[in-house]
Amino acid sequence: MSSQLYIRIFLAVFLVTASSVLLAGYLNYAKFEAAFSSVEASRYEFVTSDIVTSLESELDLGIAVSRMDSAERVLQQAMSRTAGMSGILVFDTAGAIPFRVGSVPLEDGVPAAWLDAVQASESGSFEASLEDTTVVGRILLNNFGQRVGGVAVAYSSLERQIVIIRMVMSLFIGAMLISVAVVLISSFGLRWLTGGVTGRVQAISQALGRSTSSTAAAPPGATSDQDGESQTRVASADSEMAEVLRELEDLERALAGRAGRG
Amino acid sequence: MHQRQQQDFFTSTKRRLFGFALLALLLAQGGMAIVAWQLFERELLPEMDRKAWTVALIAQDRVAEALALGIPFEQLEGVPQFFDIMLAESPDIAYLALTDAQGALVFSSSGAPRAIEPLLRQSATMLLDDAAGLERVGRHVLVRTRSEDLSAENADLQDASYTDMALPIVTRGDNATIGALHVGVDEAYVGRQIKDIAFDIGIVMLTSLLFAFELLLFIATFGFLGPMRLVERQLTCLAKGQFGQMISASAPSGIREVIDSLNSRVRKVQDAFGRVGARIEALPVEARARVVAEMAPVLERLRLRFALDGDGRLQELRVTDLVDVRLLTFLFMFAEFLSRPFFPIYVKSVVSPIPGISEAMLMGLPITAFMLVYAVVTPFTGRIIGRLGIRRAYALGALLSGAGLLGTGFAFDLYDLVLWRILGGTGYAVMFMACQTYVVGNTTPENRAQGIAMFVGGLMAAEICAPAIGGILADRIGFTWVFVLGAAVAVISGVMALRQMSQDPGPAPRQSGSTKAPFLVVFMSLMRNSRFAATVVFASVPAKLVLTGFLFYLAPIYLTELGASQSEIGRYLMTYGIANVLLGPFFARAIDKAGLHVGAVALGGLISGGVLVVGLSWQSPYMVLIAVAALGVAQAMSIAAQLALVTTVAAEEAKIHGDAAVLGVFRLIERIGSAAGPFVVALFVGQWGAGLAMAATGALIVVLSVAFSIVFLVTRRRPPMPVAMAPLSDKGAS
Amino acid sequence: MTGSIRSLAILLAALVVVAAPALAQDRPYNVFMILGRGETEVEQGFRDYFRDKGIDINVTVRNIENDVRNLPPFIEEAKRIRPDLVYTWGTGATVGTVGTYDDVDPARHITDIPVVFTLVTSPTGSKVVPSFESSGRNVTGASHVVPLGSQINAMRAYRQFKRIAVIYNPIEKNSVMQVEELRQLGVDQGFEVIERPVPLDAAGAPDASSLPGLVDAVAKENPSFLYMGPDTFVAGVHKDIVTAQANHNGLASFSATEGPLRAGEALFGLVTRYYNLGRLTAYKAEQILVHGIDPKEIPVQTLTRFSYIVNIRVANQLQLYPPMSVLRFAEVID
Repeated sequence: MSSQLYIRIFLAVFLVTASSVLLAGYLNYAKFEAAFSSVEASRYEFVTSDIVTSLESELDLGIAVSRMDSAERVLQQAMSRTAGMSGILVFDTAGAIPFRVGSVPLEDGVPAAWLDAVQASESGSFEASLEDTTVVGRILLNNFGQRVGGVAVAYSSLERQIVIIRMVMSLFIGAMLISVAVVLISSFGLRWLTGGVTGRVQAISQALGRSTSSTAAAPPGATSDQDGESQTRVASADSEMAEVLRELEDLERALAGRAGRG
Repeated sequence: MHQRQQQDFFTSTKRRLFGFALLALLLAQGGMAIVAWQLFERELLPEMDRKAWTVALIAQDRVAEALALGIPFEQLEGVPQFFDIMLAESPDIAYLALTDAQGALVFSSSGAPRAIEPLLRQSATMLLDDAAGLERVGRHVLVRTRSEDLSAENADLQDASYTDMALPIVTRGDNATIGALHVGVDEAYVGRQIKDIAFDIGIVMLTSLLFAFELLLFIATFGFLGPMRLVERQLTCLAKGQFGQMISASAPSGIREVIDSLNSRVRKVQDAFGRVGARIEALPVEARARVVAEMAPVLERLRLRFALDGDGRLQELRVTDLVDVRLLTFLFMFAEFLSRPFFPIYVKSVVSPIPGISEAMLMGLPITAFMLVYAVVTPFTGRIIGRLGIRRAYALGALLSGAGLLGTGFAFDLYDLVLWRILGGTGYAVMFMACQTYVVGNTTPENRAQGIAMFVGGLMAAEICAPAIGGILADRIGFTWVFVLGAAVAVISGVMALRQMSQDPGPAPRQSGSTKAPFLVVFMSLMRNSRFAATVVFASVPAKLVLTGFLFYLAPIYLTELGASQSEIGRYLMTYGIANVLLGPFFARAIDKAGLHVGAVALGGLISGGVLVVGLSWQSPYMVLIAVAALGVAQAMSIAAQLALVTTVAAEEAKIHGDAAVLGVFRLIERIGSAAGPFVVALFVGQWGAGLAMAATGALIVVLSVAFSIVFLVTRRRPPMPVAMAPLSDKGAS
Repeated sequence: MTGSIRSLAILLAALVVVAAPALAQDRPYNVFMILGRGETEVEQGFRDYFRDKGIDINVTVRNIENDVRNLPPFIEEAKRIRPDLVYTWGTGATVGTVGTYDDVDPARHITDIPVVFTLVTSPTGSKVVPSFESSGRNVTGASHVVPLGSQINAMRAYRQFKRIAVIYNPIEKNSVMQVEELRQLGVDQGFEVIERPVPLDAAGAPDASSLPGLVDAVAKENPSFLYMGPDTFVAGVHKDIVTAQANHNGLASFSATEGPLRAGEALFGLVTRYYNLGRLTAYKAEQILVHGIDPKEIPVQTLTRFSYIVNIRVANQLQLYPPMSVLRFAEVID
């Protein structure tokens, strides 16, 4: 079989396998992204809700946000035990920041969006992205349901991005290697794939070859059924041909004779 | 015998192609699964560890606070409930537990498996003994133990995989360690994530398998199967002494030599014949007439006997296999079916409410528009195809369809959306009919059934995988991009058609009827035939109505309402195609054999209607799944039988007006049913909501099926003709 | 319930946003306080709220010495000096100052100056307001009573129970109503309520000497908790005898007011701290003074989170320790 045909088959196999594993890789990536993000988010959620509970039980004593004396300690503790956390701050509705540990990249004060969220968010939480930092926030409610401020926990999103990019690259490289490997392995299958046809072609072309090299009869101990069958048909074709040629040549000769006479 | 042997190795090669594709994809997806698993473990476990650590520290704090109040360790109250609350939304953590100074379990979260006790004891002992293996994280000490290390002794731990993190519980006064707090990282969480997408991966696998098979079959057919078939044909002809044809096809080496060798034989004979002719030509004029008269009987005998041709005009044998139609059908159906699991939902997201028209109605309107245009345009496609030729007509259809899909994806509101669907419907109709004409033109009445099987094969392959993959993609890349993908596939199929379809295979033998009576006349005369009318109105129209009304319209809406994701909806809708493919051929044969066409049609209707009515009692996505699958079975039963029935009951009319005219009327009415489907069901939805609408649709179908049965019971029974002889199937077009 | 409170809170927050920015303050706001018996923690909370917010107020304090007959001159005075806000403490002073909603006399009552009341047990029952949503007039305020449903939930959070006991003074109207409500809740939620009214002596007054025996008798029926509502006789005057006797019998007592917890021996309770009530009242006042909101637009309110107080010394004594989840939000006292 010609290499062009093989190349086409290889190409088709590669095309389909590669798109198939790439799509699978994409599904894996999406799932990974979701799983990773949810685990990471729930880790920070644990820390944040722990902070909020601590602060709100102090608010319940009737203490204003800016006067909570346990806040500093609560934030320090949360900060020290949470890997990847870059900073926490507590702010009140006026935008003042009475407590802050670590670093939260704010350009000038508490962003208006956070203050709006504190006033209007239905879920009681808000989220923001600042440069390479992700911020998750929770609203502080005092014991008569007044929204008195918020807690913002900042963590580096760089780490997550690195993990995700590493995952994407690994999946992509994996998919490509697999596709190439499958194409290589599939080359072993090509013989098998075209085997039926190849055998048949050989049988026919042998029969044709034999008949052109004049010996018409099958060789002693003729191999398979297929061979025998091809030979019979080729033989019959050739005998038909011989017959028609003979008749035509007779005619031609006769005509030639006539032309000579004519 | 030759025929059979040929058939054998063609089918065996086809099977091998399928096996080859299957193996390659299994290998690839298997490899990918292993890679993904490894990567998930590598990247996800550390983050799970970090979270468990945070949870452990917080829980440790709370326990320490309680102890600091003077509450004795053993008398801590409500610990399991407290742990449960902490773990409420943490599927990645298997348990929280407290052990005492001896490492014995005191409290644990309620989901904690019994088997963890030895694991806890091991970590607690290490922790209390201050053994090697203690880790220090800041001011904290912890021990990590993996259940794998213990699973040799403990059979219960074998199928689970935990990492136990233990932190000491220390009294505040004398700093004595009186117990340990444990958090179990559930490593099986990683596996569960991967299993979550197993279905989706399976769909990807199935889709790529069908793609690979279609593509390989295409390549193989034009690469070597087709030429080989020609070789066999030529050899058979030559063996019979027929020398009137030459193979004209490119072929790979090996086959090419054989072709050349066979062609040279033909050439040789034809040359010899030509030389005889030349000799006669060379004769002087007066001699020629005599010679011709004298030799004519011999020449004529030879010419007929050996299929010789005096003018050198030999028949060309070309590869005209219909796999190209199969691939094209697959592609354009794929493009169109991709949006099936979410189309009504997409419409809802695009259109703005119009006062006085229910939302349900608006959601169904674009589907109705599409179907209506399809029904209206189809009768005119013959003229388009006649003018442009099949190839260019198909390409035009593909272009229209692609534009329609693209526009649909970016539609602003109902009005332009409907416009885009009209465009798409026109394109679809042209493509569909172009493919049909191509099949008819490239087959003889004897092998037409095979040609249709090719066409239907492509259609069913798309029916199976397109909705499923469309759902998966919609979940991730959004509706619009799925439409873009569909448009791209449609356009690709158009380009392929231009490159691949052989030049028009001569005029399509469309009119087989004797006279061409006006449509209305045929219509009226058919409608006076009560059995024909009953079949069309009580069986065919309802069958189409339930197909478009339920499968295309209501099922996606209802499933969404029941909380199914797009991927799930796609998977559910796929079962229609699967049931149809698996059971269709079986039913066709069985019904033909038993001659039970009327029964099959009635039963099909009763099943598809009945299952929808039953759906009322169980409002679950699984019920919809069952209904979809049952619909697949019912339609497999009914559609082929309907065709056979129509041709039988209208045999008289067909004699007068021709088969084509009768079928034309049948198809048109049927397609009106398709268009009415979403409209009728939308009326129900607007009135009673999706769940009840399903039952109402079912009830309607049941009633009509009963009416159908009554008409046939009352009128005289005549034996119908077999399904296989029925004219072209139209099943996918709905 | 929490849902409605949350939506209420959102509504309030929205009102604040609408009214912001705060009007510039060019002079202190004048607040005229009419108190029942001198300044309490309520007024402390009220003043601290304004201090924390940096808002200057100028407070004039008048006492009626628990006698509403002392009220008219103060009303006259308020009408004369026209403060920015009148603050009334307790049901008596409040009703005397603003009248009931169906009986307002501009001659006797204050109508044209905003009034904020506090510590009114039942603002609707005493007809100060027709509903908590709006007074329909120039009045708003805060109530300290913890809803009974919340109290039951607080008890459940400590331990599940099937039976509780209540001892009450049959001549206190508030107490009797509370017990009736408790009985109804018992029917709805499937717990049993053992009711014991305090016997009356010859003069028709409740007999204090019967209390220890009454507690002993109740304890014999094995209730999970002894419930102490806002009953002046049982939970006010005799709180120490009742709670000590209960503890002696191994019966834990739950209190709806702060007294039995801080000055008595009650195990736990869900209460409104006076200080917090003062802050809540100040919040209402702030909306009127600073944001200029019409009092009839401001709902009457109780706290949304009450103080869950656990006496750990009593818990130790009874060996009845608070669950971990309660510890997370409880205020533990010794």
